[in-house]
Amino acid sequence: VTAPPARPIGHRIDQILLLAAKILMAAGLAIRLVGATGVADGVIAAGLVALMATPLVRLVSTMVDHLRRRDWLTLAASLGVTAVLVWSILTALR
Amino acid sequence: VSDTLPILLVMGMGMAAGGLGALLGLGGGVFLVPLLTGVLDLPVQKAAGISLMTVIAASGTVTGGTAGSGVVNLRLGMLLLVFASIGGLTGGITAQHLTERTLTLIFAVTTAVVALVTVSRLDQVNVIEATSGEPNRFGGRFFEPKRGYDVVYRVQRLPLALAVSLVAGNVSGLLGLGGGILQVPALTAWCGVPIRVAAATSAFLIGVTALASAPIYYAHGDVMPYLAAAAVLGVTVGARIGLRWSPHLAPRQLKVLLAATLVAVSALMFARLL
Repeated sequence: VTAPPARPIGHRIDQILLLAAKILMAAGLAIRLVGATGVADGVIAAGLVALMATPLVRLVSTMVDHLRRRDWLTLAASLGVTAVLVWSILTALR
Repeated sequence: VSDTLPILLVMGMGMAAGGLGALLGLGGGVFLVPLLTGVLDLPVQKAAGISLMTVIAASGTVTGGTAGSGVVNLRLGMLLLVFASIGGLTGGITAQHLTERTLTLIFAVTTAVVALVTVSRLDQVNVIEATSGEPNRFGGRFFEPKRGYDVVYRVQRLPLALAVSLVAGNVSGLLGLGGGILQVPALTAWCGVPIRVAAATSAFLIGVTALASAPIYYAHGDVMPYLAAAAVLGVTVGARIGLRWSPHLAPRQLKVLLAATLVAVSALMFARLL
């Protein structure tokens, strides 16, 4: 069985989110340098959250791709990884 | 105004770490953490928190460049990721309970071991690539543009790859490194995965692995937002410069440079223990 090649499903969303995260962080740093620390920290935090969402988007798009291909083993592995990430987020929120 | 110097410093460190990381096919974390602890005297936990953000950004950038090319082996990658993410989660939780000294010691030993392994395998070619035949269940096939034909490879010693992924994930969560520093050499040296596939698949893995521990660091206040943003932007610029330079260096030169840099990093971390 040949391993499936990477498909750019969700790739654009992932890349747009990554770009948005970097723009938010750059804007936040610029605002901070001007002196508006409170606003800047909010903008930077939004950028960091967007950044942390990018691997999740990539993972979900991969899951959709494997569901479409009926590659059950890889889909099960993706679900396992998602469960670990959810556990991590819940641990952080506690 | 008081923020200007740290922001510029961290951006510069990010550029250096990202450039060196891209040149050597790694995330920049292994270089960024020692710089942040050495120059700004940040605790390892805070440096690791910042570094994890740069790992996520670097992973996204590299994966964006390789998506659709067929070099990312998602079937193998997803299986490795189950173990890497469990390692990342446990590493992230454990890091919150370890002392600064213990984390520094783990960092110093890890970089020293990887440097030794790199030096010991300087001239070894471990991957048998073929142009015909069928890949096995977790193997694959990809087009090699420099040679102008498809390359087929078969994955060997899968349990070993899974064990290394667990350790790599744990190191990622503990020290804020990407984990590629362990995964790529193991996949190429022992598991029959070509370097292009190992590097591209690892780049996909490290972002998700970092995410397994990043929320824990974030919730503990170990991600200093403005320094993390400066580091992410610096790494992004540095990685682009490094990627332009990397084709000009021979694999042996890259390995020597990697080993030399890791020895320096390890020595720096050991020196902090004195």
